Amino acid sequence: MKPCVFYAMLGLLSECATSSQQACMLLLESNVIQVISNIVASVSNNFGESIYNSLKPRDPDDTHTLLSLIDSMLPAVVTHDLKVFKSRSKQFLKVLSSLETHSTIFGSSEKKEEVREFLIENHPKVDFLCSELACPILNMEFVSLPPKTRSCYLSIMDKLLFYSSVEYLSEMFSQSPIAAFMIRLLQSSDCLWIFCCLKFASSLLQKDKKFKVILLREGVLNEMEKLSDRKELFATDALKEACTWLTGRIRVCYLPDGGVREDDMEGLVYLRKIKEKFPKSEAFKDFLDLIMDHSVSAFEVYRSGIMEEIYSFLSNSTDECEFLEAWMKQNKNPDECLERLIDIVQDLLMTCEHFPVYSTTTHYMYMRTQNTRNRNRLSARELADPFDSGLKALASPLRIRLCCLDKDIYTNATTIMIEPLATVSQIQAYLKPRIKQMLNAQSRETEKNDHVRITRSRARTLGFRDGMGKSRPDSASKGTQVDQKFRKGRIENDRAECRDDNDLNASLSFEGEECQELGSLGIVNRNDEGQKNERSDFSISFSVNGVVLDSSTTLLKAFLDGQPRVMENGLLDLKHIWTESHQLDFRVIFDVKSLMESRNEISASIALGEDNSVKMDRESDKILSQEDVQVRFALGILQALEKIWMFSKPDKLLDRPEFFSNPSIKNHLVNNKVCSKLIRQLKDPLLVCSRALPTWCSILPYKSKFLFSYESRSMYFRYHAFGLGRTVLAILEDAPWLSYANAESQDSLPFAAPRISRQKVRISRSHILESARKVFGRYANADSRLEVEFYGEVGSGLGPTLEFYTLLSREFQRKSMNMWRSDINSRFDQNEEVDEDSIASPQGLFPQPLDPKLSDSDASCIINNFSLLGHMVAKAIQDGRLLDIHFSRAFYKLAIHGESLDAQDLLDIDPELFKSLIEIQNSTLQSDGSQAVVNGVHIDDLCLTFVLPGHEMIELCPGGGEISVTSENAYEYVDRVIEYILSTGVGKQIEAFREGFNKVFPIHHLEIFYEDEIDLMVCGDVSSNQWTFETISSAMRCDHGYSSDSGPVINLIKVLLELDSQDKRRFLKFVTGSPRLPAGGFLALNPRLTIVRKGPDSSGPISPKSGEDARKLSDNDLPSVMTCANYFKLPPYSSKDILKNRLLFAIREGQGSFDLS
Amino acid sequence: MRSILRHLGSGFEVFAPQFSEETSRLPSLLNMMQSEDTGDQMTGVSELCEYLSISSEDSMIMFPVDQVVPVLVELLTSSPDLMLLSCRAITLLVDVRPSSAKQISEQGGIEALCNKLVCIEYIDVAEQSIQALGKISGSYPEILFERGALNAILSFVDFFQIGIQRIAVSTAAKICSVLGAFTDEEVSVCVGSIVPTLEQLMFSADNKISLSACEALTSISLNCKHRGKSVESVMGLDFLQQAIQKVCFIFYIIPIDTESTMRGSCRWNNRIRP
Repeated sequence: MKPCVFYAMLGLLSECATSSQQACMLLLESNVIQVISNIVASVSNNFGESIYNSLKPRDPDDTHTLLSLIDSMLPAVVTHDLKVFKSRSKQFLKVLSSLETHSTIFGSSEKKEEVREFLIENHPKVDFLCSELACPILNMEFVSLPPKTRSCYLSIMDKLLFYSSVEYLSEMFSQSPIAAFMIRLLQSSDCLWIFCCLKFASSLLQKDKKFKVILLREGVLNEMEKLSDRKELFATDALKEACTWLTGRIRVCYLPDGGVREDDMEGLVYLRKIKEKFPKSEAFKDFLDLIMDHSVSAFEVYRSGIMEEIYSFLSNSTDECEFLEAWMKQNKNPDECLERLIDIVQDLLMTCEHFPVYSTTTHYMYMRTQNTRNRNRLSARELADPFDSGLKALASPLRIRLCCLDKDIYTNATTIMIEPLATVSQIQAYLKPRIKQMLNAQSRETEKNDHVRITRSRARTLGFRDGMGKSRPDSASKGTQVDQKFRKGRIENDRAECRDDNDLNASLSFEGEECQELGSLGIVNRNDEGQKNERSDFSISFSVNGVVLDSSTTLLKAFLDGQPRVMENGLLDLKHIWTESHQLDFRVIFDVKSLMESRNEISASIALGEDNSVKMDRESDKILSQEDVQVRFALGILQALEKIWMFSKPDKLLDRPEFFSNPSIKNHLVNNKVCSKLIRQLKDPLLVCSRALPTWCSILPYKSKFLFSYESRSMYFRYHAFGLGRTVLAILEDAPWLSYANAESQDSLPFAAPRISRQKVRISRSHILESARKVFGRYANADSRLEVEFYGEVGSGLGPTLEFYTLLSREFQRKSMNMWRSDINSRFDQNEEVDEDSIASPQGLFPQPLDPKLSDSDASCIINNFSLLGHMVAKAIQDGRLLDIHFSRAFYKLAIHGESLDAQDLLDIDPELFKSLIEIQNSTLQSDGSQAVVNGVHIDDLCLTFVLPGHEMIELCPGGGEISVTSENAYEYVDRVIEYILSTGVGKQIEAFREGFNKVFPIHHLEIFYEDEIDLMVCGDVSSNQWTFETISSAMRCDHGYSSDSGPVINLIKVLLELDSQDKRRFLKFVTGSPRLPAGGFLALNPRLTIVRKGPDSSGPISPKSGEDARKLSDNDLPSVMTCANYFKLPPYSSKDILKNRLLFAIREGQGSFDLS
Repeated sequence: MRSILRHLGSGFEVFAPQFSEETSRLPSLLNMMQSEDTGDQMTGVSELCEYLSISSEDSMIMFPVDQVVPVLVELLTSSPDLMLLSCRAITLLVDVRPSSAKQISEQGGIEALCNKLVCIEYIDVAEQSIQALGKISGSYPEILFERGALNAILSFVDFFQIGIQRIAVSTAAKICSVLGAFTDEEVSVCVGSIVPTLEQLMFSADNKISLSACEALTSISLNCKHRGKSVESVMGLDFLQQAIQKVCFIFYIIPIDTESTMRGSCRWNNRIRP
C-alpha cells in the first residue's frame, strides 16, 4: 500500500469517526492507536531505518489527516466550566459558533450527554490512547505545523489533558516541555491560543490540587497574571471577553488565595541561597547537586537570576580545568549532569527568547481559492502553507516605473511589469537598447528637428512577462511630426491608472493619446547607428530612494529594503509590493571613472570574510540587546558548555580520561524551539527569495550553530549560499508535493522555475589537471552546473562528471604535487591499490609548509594548485558532487572558519610529531634548569637544530640550522615548530584556497557547519554502517524484470557485503562514478540505485534456443551500468559464485572509461 | 436542408481564411457526418478525431461546437464502429475544449454515454464512454451527477481493464466531491447504490483505484456529516472494520523487536530532539 492510499484511508476513518460513535468505538478497539503513535513519533524523531519512515507524512495535508484522526478518536471535552460559559450569555455562544471553523476545539455541543456515557464505558481505552499518544504528540513541534493543523493539535492537547489520569499528567509535567508549551501559548498574540491555554489550565486545576503547585513552579500562573496587564488587539472582542472571563473564573475557583507566591516555589528558595554563594566554585557544585537531586523548573531559574552568576563563573574560569574540577566534585554521573544542565538552560532559553518570526501574506492565497471550484481539495495545504502561495506570488509580476534622473537624456517614465525575481541587470539589459536609441534620436533631433519617442515595445526577448513599456511623447513633441514608421497603438484601459502614477516628471504631457509601436526593424537599425555614436558607450546605475543597487540585486529585495515594513504581530504584509507600482530611478553614466566609483561603493558595502564577521558580531549584539538579558546568558552558557564538551573528548595519546562519554550531548544542545522557528522562516519562499528573513536567522546559525540541527543549517545554507535560481530549485526540491499537486490539477508550476544552465565540457583523461584549470578558470563564477565528458568516450551526464571530480581529487593527492604533509609511517596500512605516487594520510590532508627557498615558479605553482583546489571544492559543493579527498579537521578549521590553530590541532595532523614535541616540552618543564631528558636521552644529544623536523631546508629562525636545541631554548623550539607548521608555513596556501573558493561562492557561508559536517558534504559518507543487507535492499529499487526478492538481486547484495573495502569502492565507482557514497548513504543516491535485469544480448552469435542455452548465455554476460541513472544492469546469473566472479571482473576491469552509451 | 448547409458552409468560410486549411475542412467533415451513407459518416468522424487530436485550445476558438455536438450525440446511437468513433471524438473534444461538455449534456449526450455503460453491448464503446465521462468530470462534475452518471460509471466497473477502472473510479471521486450542491433526496438515492461498489474498490490491489475510491468515500461521509446523517446509515460497520484492519496491517508486518525498541525510545526519559 502506498503512503498516499494509507493517508486517504486514515482520512476516511477520521471522517467516519467524527460523525459516528460506532466507528469511533471500532477505531478505539483496534490497533490503529499504536500504528498512529509510532508514525507520530517518527515525525519528530528519526529512528533510522524503520517501516514507519516510509509512512511518514510527507506533506502538510498528511500531517493534518493524522492529527485529525487522533482528534476524532478522542471524545469531545465537556467540562463544567464550558457549560457555565455557554449558559452565561448568548454572546459567548456566538463566539463559539463564530469559531465553527475551529469547531474541533470546542466540540459539538449537541451530543455531549451521549459522549459522556460513551466515555465512561470506554474509559480504559481512552486512557490507553492518551498514554500512547501524549509523548509523541508533544514532541511534534507546534510552531512548525501549518495553521489549520495547529488548531487540531490544540484540540488534541485539550482532550489529552482532560482525559489523562492525574499520575500520568504529573509525570508528563516533570519530563516534557509541556509547561514551556503552555507559556508559549500564553505569550502569543493569538487570542484563540490564549483561550486554549486557559482551558488547559482550568481542566488541570480542576483535576487535582497538585497541579496548582506545578503550574506555579513552571511559571504558567505567573504568565496568566501578566495576561491581565496586556492590552493588545485581540482577534475578536467576544473572544477577548471569553479569555477574561475564563481567567477570572480560574482565579475564583482554583486560586482562592490569590496569585503567585514565591514561598511556594521550593526550587526558587534553594536557588536564591546558592546564588549568594557565587562566585565560589562550591556554589557551582551546589547548583549541579540541586539540579540533579531536585526538580528545578526553568521558570525558577529565570526568576532567581542565577544564570548571570553561572555565566560569569564559566566565562571567568579561563581554564577549562577549573570547571572540570568543580564538575568532578559533583560525583554523580557527569554525562547526565551535563545533560540536565543543558536542558535547563535550553528550557530557559525557550521561555525567554522572543526572536521575531515573520510571516507573509499575499493576496494570492485568496484569489486562488475563489477561482477554484473544488474546495475540498484546497485543504490545509493551500490555505495555510505559505509555501505554495508564496511561490505563486513570486510568479506574479511587479509593476515598476523606471525614472531617469538625468532628464535631458531619457525623459520618459516607463512602467514595466516584471517578475520579482528578476535582477537589476535584467532591467539594464532591457533599458540599454532603448537608451541608445534615445540618444541616437536626440542626436538626430538636432539635425532634423525631429522628435521620435519610443512608446511601446515588447520585452519578449528579455524574458519579461507581459513586459510592457509605455511612455508618451513629451509636450514639445506633441503635435509635431510623428514618424510615420510607427503604427498607432491602442491604450489599454487598465493601463490608464498607472499613467496617473506616472506624473512625476513635470515635463511630460499626460494628454497624449497616441501610443506607438516600434517596429523591431527600427530597433535593429538604430542600434547599428547607435554603436557608431560616441556616446553609445555607457552604463546605467539604478537606485531606489537614493540607495544605489548592485546589479545582482533582485527587484523584490530592492523594494523590500526600500520600503518600511508594515508589521502587525510579526506579519509582514507584502501585499503592497504587488499592488503598488514602484519607482526605480536610474542614471545613465558615460564616464567610466564615476562608474567604477559607484561599483566600488557597492562592493565596499558588501562585506565579505573578515568584515563579515565583524558585522555579524555587531548585529548579534544588536539582536541580543533587544532580547531579555537572560537570553544572552543562556546562549553564553551553552556556548561555554559546548566548548568544554568538545574539548573534553577522550584522548588516548594524552591519557586524558574519558570525561563525557555521551555523544548525544550534541543533540541536547539543539534548541527545538529556535531551530523550528528557523525552519518555519525558511519554509516561506517569499521571505527566503527576497532575502528578507529576520536578522537573527542570518546571525545565530553562524554565531551559535549548536542551537540548530544539521538539517536546518543545511537548509539555510542551500537557500542562501548560491544564487536565487538555485535557491528556488532547492525550495522546490524540499517540497516535492508541489510537483504532484500540480500534476493533479494540470497546473504547471506556479512559475517558470529558473533553470540552471548546464555547462558541458569535454576533457581528456590524460590531462586532467590542465583541463581542470582551464575549465574552472573559465566557468568558475558562471552560475551553471558543470558537466564533464571525456574525449573518445560516449558516456555523458552524472557518471563522467563524478568520475572527473574523483580523478581530479586523486590528482591533487599526488606526491609530486608537493602540496600535502604525508605520513610516512602509515603508508603501508593503506590499500595496495593506491599507487606509489599518492599521498597517504590517514589523519586527513593538511598542507605541507612552504619552503621559503623554493624558486618562485615552483612556489607559485603550488599556490595556484591550492587556488584550483578551492575552486574544485566550491564547485563540487555548489553542484552537489562528491570528492574523493579527505581533508583534516585542522585544514577545515583554518581554511573555512579562519580560526587560528593551537597545539591541540597538531595532534590531528601529525600525532607522532605531536607526541615527541610534547615529550620535549614536558621534559624541559620537569628539568628545572638542569639537563632535560627525553626518553632517557639528554636533549643536547638529540642534535636538534632550529629547523623544521623533516624539512632540513626550512629554518625556524634566521640561521636556525646552526643553532642547536638545548634545554634552555627547547620550549621556544617547540613553539616555533608548531607555529610554523600550523600558520606561518601554510598561510599562503590557505589564502590561495580561500581565494579560489570565493570565486565560486563566498566561503563564509560554510561557517555555519562543523568540520565533520563539511567533510560529510564534500566527501560523502565513508562510514561502513551503510553496508548491511537491510540498508542496501531498502535503498535499492528493482525494475524491469526484478523484484526485491528475486534470486539474483539477493545474491548481489550478499556478494556486495562480502567485498573488501577496495572492491566496495570499485563497485561504487563502477555504478555511480564516485567511489564514495553521498551523505545519507545509499538512500541518498539520487537517482536511486536501480537494479534491472539484463536480457541476453540479442546481437550475440547464439540465439538462445533452450532454457539451458539462455542460462549459459546470461552467465557469460557481464553486468553493466548506466551511471547517470544509477542503473545497474544485472544479468540473471544462475548462482552466487558466478555472480561474484562476473561482478568482480566487471568492476575491476571496467574502470576508467565510459564506453557504452 | 440544402440552404441550411449552404448557410453553414458560408458561415465557415467567413472565418476560414484566418485558420489553417484544417479548419476549412470542417464544413465538409460535418456534411459527411450528416450524410446517410455510413461510409461517409465513418470517414467524417474519424477525420474529425484526427483534427481534434492535433488541435489546441487556441486553434479551437472558432470550432463550431454547436453544430458538431448534436451530430456526434446522434451518432452515439448508430452502428458500433460509429459509436466508438463518436465517443472518441467527444473525448477529444472535451479534452481540448472543456466547455463543450455543457452542449453535450444539453443534447442528451451524457445520458447516451451512460447508456453504453448500463447495458454494455460493446466493451470498447463502453471503455471509450468512460474515458469521455472522465474528461467531462475534470470540469463539470455537477452535470454528470445531475445526469446520473455516478451510478452508470460504477455499475459494471469490474469488467474493464485496470486503466479504464482507474479512470472510472477517479471520475466517481470527482463527482462525489460536489455532492454538497444537491438535495438530500437526490444524493441519498444515488449514494446508497454506489457505496458498496466503492467499498469493494477501496480494497483493490491497485493503488490508484484504491486511492480514488477512498477519496470518493471520504467525500460521501463528509457529505453525510453536513446533512446530519450518521455514517452507519450509508457505510456498513463491517466495511469500517475491514478498513481499520487494512490500516493496521502495516503494524503486523513489523518485526517485534523493532517495535519494542521504538516504543522504548519514545518514552519520556529520553526527551526526543530532532
